[in-house]
Amino acid sequence: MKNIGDILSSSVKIATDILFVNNPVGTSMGVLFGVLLHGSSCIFSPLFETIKAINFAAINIFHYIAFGIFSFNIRNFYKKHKVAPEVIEAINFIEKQVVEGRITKTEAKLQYREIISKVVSNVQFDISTESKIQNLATINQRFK
Amino acid sequence: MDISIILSIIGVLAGSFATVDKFFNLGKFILRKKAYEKIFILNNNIRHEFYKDLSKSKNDYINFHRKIILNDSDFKNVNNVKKAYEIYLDKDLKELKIKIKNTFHEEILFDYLNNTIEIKRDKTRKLFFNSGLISSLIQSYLSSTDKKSIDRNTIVGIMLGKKIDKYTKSFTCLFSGLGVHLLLVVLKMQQLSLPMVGILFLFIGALSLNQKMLEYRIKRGYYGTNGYEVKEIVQFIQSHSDKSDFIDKNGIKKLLPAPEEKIETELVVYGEAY
Repeated sequence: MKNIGDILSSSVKIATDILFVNNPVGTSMGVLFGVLLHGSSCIFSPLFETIKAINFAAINIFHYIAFGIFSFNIRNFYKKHKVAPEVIEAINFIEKQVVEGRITKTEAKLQYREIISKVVSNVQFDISTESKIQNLATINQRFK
Repeated sequence: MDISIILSIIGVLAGSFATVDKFFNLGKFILRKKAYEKIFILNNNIRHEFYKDLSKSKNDYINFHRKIILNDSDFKNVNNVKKAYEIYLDKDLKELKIKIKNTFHEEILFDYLNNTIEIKRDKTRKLFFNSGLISSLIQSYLSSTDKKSIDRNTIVGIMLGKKIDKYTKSFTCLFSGLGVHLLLVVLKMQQLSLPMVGILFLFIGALSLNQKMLEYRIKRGYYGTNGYEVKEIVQFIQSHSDKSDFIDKNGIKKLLPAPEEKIETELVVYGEAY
């Protein structure tokens, strides 16, 4: 029963991430763009009515917003950040072990955390991130 | 019933709930800061009262200094404050401890936030849209004790700082979309479109739900315990690392303990930060 919150929250989070195409800023800007486009189309509607070849009245608000979201996310299709294959392999390995019943879900969770800790300790951060980490370490010292 | 009307009703409900929640969280955040100020004043008052009493001997003063008086650096430590009040007032102060634990020391708080969220820029907007998430982030950071979890929480904190930036921008876009539409309606350039308001609120609601789930997962210590989130965190680490020096070729062996190695199951994931 304890896991219900975990499963539910992770599914809702993944679902809403997908709704925003993993790019909330782009998607929201697309929505805003759709709203602006719809507004300007209303203002210029007398002009559009003179063009008989295209039926502008058929385009409704959903089309404008969909167009906005699409155009602001198109760059993301080409720009893909790949996760290191070692990490993917490790995750798949853990998932396989859970399916085969060799480790429990709690153990799997600990192993997932272990991956993050290992990556953090293995990696050399760039200068700005490193200085932030140093600052946070001093803040933590002051608390204890 | 038309599908767009159903969508609009759901959207308006979700969006309104999200907006109310934002105000509620901001209120809670401000109250915590206020409570800290109150305790600070209380501390000063106790000090003041003690000095007003002229019947005290020299030894009393020395003991008072030694045990009770809290200089500013002691005051940052919750347990010191509690202990000092207990000695002074001669009673168990469970309630006060809870109160102090729920407050934030402003200086440390803003030091922390400046290093993760970069709160200096757009402070009001960031606090309004993300105060719930910020609260749970700080509490989980403060609750981490061993070095491993501190390191992990530091990185996750910096990563969530970027996320908070994104949430702020997204909410600003969505709310300005709503504002633009309502402005055009007020200026009579456009008719009020219920589907439009509904869809905007629906997006606001969905984004708030996403944020709320993240907040819940951080608070309960679930964040970073499934493949999806591990990938998310590693992706962030990769993009902030020296590319030449990521992970050595040993790969999986370095990342995972050997399969035979038994991990103690009683180590509870529940409740620990990350």
